[in-house]
Amino acid sequence: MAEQKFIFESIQDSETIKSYLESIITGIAKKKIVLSTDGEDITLHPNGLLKLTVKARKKADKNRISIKMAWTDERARLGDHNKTIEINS
Amino acid sequence: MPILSSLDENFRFIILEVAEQVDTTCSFMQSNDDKLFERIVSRDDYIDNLKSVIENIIFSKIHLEHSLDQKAVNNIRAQNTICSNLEKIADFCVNIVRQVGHIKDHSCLDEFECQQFFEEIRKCFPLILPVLQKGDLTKALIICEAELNLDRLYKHNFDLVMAKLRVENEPEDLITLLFIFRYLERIGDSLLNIGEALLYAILGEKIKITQFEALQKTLTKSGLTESLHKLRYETYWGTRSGCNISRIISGDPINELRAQDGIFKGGITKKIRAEKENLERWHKILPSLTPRIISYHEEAGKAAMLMQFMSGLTMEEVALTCDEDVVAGALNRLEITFLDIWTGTLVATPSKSDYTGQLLARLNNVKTVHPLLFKNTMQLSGKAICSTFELIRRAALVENQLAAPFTVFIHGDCNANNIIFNQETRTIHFIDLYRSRQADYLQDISVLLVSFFRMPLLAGPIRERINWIIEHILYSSKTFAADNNDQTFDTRLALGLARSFITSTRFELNSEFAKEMFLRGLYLLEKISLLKEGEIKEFTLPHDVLYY
Repeated sequence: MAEQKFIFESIQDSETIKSYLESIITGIAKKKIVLSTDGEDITLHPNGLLKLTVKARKKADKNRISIKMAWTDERARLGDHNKTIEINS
Repeated sequence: MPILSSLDENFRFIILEVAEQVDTTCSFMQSNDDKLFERIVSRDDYIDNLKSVIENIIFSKIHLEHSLDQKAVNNIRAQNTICSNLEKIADFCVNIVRQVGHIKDHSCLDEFECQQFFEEIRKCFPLILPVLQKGDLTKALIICEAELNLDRLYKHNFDLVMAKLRVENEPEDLITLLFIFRYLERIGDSLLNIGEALLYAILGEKIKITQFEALQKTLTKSGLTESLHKLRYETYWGTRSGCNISRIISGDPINELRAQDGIFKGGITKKIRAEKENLERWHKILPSLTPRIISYHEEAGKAAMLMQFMSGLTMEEVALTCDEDVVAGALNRLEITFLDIWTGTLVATPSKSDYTGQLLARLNNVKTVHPLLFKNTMQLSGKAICSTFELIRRAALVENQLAAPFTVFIHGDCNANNIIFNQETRTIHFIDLYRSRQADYLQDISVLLVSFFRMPLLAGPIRERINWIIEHILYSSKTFAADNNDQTFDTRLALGLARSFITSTRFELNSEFAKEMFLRGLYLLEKISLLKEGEIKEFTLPHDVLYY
């Protein structure tokens, strides 16, 4: 399956960023996040076990916080388990 | 101007060979003798080789002989250009004789003035070496002039051919003749390149003949009687105005008479005349602020102007290179100058704001340089995000309700490079004034603030200083706004800044920094686009957008 990508970059005040993050939180709660641009959609289903990484960095007056979520879709995991192992000698 | 020995020898040879080639071509057109045809074609290979030999000598000289002074290097570069163009002329000769081969009735050649073309071309070759050796400007101009004469001959003969084509039923020979005349005309173009290369060798700067003529006339009008040889001529490269700008330094370089230094500006009449009229207006407002016009000249859609050279440092140089007390002094003088201009030229008639219009007019240029910065409509987990164009459209709807409460006479291109600070006299000068007009003072302030923001030092003490300068300018213009009851200052400034942030990216090739400016511009547009009726005066510009 071809890789799908979505990138959104913006400069905003914290109030607006809060509203963006809230939209994502609503998506997490519904277990469905739809991201679209140029009529192409990426639909993500955050379900089951998710890995959350929060990284922060402060150097002089420059600050960074990154929040990363990663998971594997359930169906893909099941697919892996159902594979038959063949041993030939 | 001594010429280097073996280069000299080969260079002399190529001139002689090409002159001979032109003579033979002329004879062939008269006699149609096959032997001459063969001689021309075989000599062409020799000339090609000669050109390669000369090129090799020139490149190795420039690379290996580090002791060459600037004049010697200029001479060699001129020789290289001349040599390429001589070789082109030889090629055109071959093209001409091949075309003659297609002519069925050779008597048709007698009806046209082919010989006059050759006379005009021939007279140039003996002039090349003396000009290069002795710097004889008059002879260089004769070579340049040959192109003009050949163009006239081409036009005359072209019209004759056309007239014949209309009445005669045998177009073949006439069409072939047109090709021949076209090659002769192109020889003129190569001669002009040779003439301009010689001007380069003499003056030390690349100059087009049209610019040279304009410069000559402007200097004559100014009463500067010195020979052009004695003037130093420095071209300012990389100007974006579409004008040719050069500094003319008179007198001996060691004993420079700085008072007579001038800036020569040449270009299309509309721009230069606009600048002249603006300078005259500025002179009435604050006589010492802008350059004095020394002379002005208009001819055939082009204009040229010689102006006083304003010595000092640009505000960009002040910001990046001077001590803090000098920066503070310059800023203080700038604020006082702005205040003097604004109070002295204030007209209390509202003027409609059009920053989004200016932005839209340049948006395609931005898109050409940074296409990936432009966003289409997006959905972020149920939250709609406007496309770049939609955002501008929405901001324009809000701007439509906006007007500057008064106007002042503005610089028009008020970036930090167009403001000069003279430390000795502690005075501010404005340059590049072809866009000056009665308008919103925030037009100038927004351009100035972003010109500081985009200075290429992104961190460290100089960046802190840039931030401090921005804060200073912002504070003083805000004080003026409060004193003059300008209630929409923040909203208009946000629009002006958004315009400048986004349009400035077309000059910014550092893609990360371009993105930073672009996103800051979009942020401001978004804030403006969300304003409802009645909120326009309440808006507060988020100052952080100006600090990096």
